[in-house]
Amino acid sequence: MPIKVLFITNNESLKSSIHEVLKNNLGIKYLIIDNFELLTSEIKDNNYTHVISCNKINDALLKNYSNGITVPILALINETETAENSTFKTAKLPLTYTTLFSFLSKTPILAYGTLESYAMNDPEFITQVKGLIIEEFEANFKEMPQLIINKDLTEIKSKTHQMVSKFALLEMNDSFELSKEIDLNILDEPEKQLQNMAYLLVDIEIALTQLK
Amino acid sequence: MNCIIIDDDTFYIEFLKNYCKKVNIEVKAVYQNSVIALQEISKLSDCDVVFLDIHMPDISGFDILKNKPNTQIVILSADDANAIKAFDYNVVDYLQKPFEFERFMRAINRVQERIKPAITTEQQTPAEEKEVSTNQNISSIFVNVNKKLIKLNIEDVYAVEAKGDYVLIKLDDKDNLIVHSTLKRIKEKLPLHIFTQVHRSYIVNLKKIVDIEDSTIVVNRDVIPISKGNRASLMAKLDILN
Repeated sequence: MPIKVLFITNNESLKSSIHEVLKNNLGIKYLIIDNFELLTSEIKDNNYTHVISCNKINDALLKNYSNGITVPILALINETETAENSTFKTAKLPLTYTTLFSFLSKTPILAYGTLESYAMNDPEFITQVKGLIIEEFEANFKEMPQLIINKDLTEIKSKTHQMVSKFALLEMNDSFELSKEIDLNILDEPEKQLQNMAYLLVDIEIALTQLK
Repeated sequence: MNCIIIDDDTFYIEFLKNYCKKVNIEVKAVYQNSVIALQEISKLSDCDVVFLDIHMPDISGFDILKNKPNTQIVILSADDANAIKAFDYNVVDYLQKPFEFERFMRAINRVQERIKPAITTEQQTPAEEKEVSTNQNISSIFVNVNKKLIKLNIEDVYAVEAKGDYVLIKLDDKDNLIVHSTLKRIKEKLPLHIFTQVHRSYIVNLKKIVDIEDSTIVVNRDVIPISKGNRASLMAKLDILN
């Protein structure tokens, strides 16, 4: 499932900085809403995976509006503010890509059970296969943006095809399904699958953080 | 046992190497470039099994299969879309990536099952040839029927069927004979350029074959089963117009 971030801020300058931070990453869908009133309906109706609030936030406020929502929440606070909460994470303003990505990558998207079992619980073998996956993901993460720009569909298909089974090994089920879709359909519906590839790149970036 | 790996994905090359190491299968060669693998296709017959990836750049696994490598093939693929097509090439097994060690071992066991009859046939071939040279001029043999030795004209025999401790010798235009013997002993006496074993219970006269289907053969008016293991040697002895 692609990463979808719901930003909450009524500050126009912060809205601009959010657009600026995300302008080069086509793999993260996002929406900015002014206040908490639309929080529950947006998350439920549009499957947002993360919430980042630049508006003042506290547990009581969240309790009022979140209505059982369990997606991870980050509150961006001023240098002078202190965090007083237990249900959400905090980071200091300004919003940077590093802050954003650090928050996104804290949600686990992979598990090692299948890989360990397939590597027969042999620690040396596990380390070796993990290292090979990291190598492959790093190379693809580096090369794929240019392949997307060049619309080199054959090469994208080939690299995606090789990653399908690695996503299965890492129990990254959404990425597994998405990569299969790209592999099967990119030659017939390039525009849609190039966008899916951009989403998949975010998964790869997060996976790399968690694998290392 | 030994193998060759043809896969452009380093990950699965290492994965297979590890699995092979655990069961003492020697990895004789690795081809990451399918073009080179195709150029050196004759080398593939030097190993017991080739692990062949289907999706490779430039030349696919199917291009290699089309060139009929003379060995056992286990296909590797990330999807099952090509499984049916692959089995048309008589591959031993189709491993969908990723695969567990147990699944890998099932493939290896299947390879071993296929190799066994091949080895048996190879071992039998010189003996059979020797028998041919010994028996090829024989036109008759004597068989013991009810304590009486009866001369049997080889040309009259169209089939021999095993019946427990006896064999039933089927004859053209004459009553069949029941002889206390085994199929193996009868086979040793018959000229093997005329007779061949088509099933563990049947030897037939090649000159009397009327037609052949997938798993049966008509000899005179009898329908006789052909076992898979004997089919190739039967076909090799026939003069077939392709």
